[in-house]
Amino acid sequence: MTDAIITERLTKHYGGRRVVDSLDLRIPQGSVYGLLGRNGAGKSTTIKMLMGMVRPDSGRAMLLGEDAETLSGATRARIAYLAEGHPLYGWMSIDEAVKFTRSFYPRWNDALLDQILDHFELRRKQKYRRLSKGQQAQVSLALAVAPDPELLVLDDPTLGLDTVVRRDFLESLIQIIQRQGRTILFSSHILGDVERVADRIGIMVNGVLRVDCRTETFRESIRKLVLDFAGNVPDAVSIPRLVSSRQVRSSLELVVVGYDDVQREAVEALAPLSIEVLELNLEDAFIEYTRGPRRSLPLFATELENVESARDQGAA
Amino acid sequence: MEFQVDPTTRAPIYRQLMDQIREAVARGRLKAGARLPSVRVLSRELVVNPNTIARVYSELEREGVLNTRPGLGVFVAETQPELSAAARRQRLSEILDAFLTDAVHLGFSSDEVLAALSKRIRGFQFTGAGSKDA
Amino acid sequence: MWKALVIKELRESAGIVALAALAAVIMVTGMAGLPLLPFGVTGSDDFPFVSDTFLFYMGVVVGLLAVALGLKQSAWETGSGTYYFLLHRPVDRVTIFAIKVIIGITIVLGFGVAMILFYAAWAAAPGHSGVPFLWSMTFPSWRLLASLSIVYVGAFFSGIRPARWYGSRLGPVIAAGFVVAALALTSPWGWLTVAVTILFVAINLAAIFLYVNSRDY
Repeated sequence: MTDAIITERLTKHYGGRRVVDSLDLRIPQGSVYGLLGRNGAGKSTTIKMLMGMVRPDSGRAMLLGEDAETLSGATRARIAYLAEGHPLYGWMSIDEAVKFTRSFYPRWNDALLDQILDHFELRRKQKYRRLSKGQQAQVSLALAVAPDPELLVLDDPTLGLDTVVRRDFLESLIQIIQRQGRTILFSSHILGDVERVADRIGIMVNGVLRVDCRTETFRESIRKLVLDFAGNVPDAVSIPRLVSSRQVRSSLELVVVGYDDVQREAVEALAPLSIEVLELNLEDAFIEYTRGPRRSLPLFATELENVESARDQGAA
Repeated sequence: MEFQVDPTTRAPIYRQLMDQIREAVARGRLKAGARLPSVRVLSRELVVNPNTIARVYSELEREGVLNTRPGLGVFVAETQPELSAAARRQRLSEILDAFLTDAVHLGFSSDEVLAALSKRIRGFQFTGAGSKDA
Repeated sequence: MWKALVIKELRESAGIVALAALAAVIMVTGMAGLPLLPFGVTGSDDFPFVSDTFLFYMGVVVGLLAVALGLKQSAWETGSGTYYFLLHRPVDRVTIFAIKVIIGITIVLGFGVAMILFYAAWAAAPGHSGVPFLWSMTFPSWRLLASLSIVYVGAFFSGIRPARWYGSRLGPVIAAGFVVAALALTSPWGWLTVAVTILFVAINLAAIFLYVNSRDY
């Protein structure tokens, strides 16, 4: 299966800071990829480089097989891009925006567009700037999918939307996903949304892609261990694949990746009174992973999926 | 048949759904041979990626809880999965130990636990020999 | 699709053109002896085009129009974020900006032409001035108007080049202003003005299209 998006060592500096640091990303065709990270982690800059809006300092990006800096018009017609804040010309009415956008595309699905606009009861003569944020998001999404794109790139599409409107947007997105073969890349802060919708996730920390795997792989691999001690609480540096450690009175809270026998032995070597192993939901797992000290974060990629499949085979 | 998923809880979405379907079958709310909603329909209802729904259905099919009839849809299997008798007894012991531990910590007496158990057992459809009817 | 882009640029310039038209009307009627405002331009004693202040005020009005339009077409879309929408349309980036610039220059020059013609029409009509009207009297106005195109492209370049507003960003448009003033005050020869105008417009256009492809949006 070919990849819809490929980046090779994509890098961007702003001032002295590496905002995107040697990013290697491969997004397979037909997948839904959620790009996560805290504010300033480099998600938006990455997306802008993918769309040719920002020039990388080194490395390159390819969309649908073409270099992102020199995307041809024909290829752009197959890609939908929703920038942060869903920018559109405020002075245009919905009708004018449709007419404007339609003039650029050979393929245009009026029926789908009408369906989305009618479902949300949007009045066509209203100016874009008079719409609420949620309505603007729906209009922008409708305009993005009308040309029947193969690839959709959405930069934080639910930013600033309230709970109900966010759900509406997700429902529209699910309908779009139903169609086979479409690839979707979206960045988000809302972990619950990402878990519902994404097949794969990537987590950027200070410009580096530290996690790149299936959604459930990440979630299932992160475990929180609570170790109770009688007296002195020991140091935890000996534990392999440690994400973070915190001392809470007389117990040690550790967050680890891929809890296996090797780690269990290392934990037991600390001689705790008790060991409690907890799962975390995606939001808590994300917080633990991105809150810890940056330098020693274990990487999550295909190496971990190999570990997981080996474990399955062993257990069967 | 109403299902719900909650991304904020500890269990991953696919597992929540699997547990709910298994429980629905166990309680008799989903009868043998009943048809489940299609992947498409359920994914729209729950606002969840269709791949996740598809995965739930295929895992449950592997376990023998559901089966797929090509062109017709996904149905609850007529006969439910069989583990060996020893494996089943082992699993039951594990479940009972966990349940009884919690009950003790909650401060119940053994009589209270037995009474509660007798009452709730009637809400489920047991299939083994010697089952009481609901 | 080109039609859509042209209409969009025209719609977006309408506000600025309307303001400039208002200023022009006030100015021209003042010079024609019917001042609409209690201050500003008056002078029905002066000879139109030859010894009056038409040249100066036309330069100011059209110059400000050129600056406002040039900056709006280039920099406003950065602030509103709409470049992320516009530049993702399946059209060559150079084409998009070429349309902007062509429309802008057309508006600026067209506006100036209209101003000159209206005033000339008034001056040529019998009874309005003490001097017979000759087309040659309008030549300095045409020359000044042509050179004001440097201000437009200078402003566009200022708007497109990412730099600090309080730093070097307005440099090109200010430099353009100086060039135009120098031309108006010193050069007696039409051909020299045209040559210098073409040179500076070309320099700015080259700079604009260089930045358009290489900058971050």
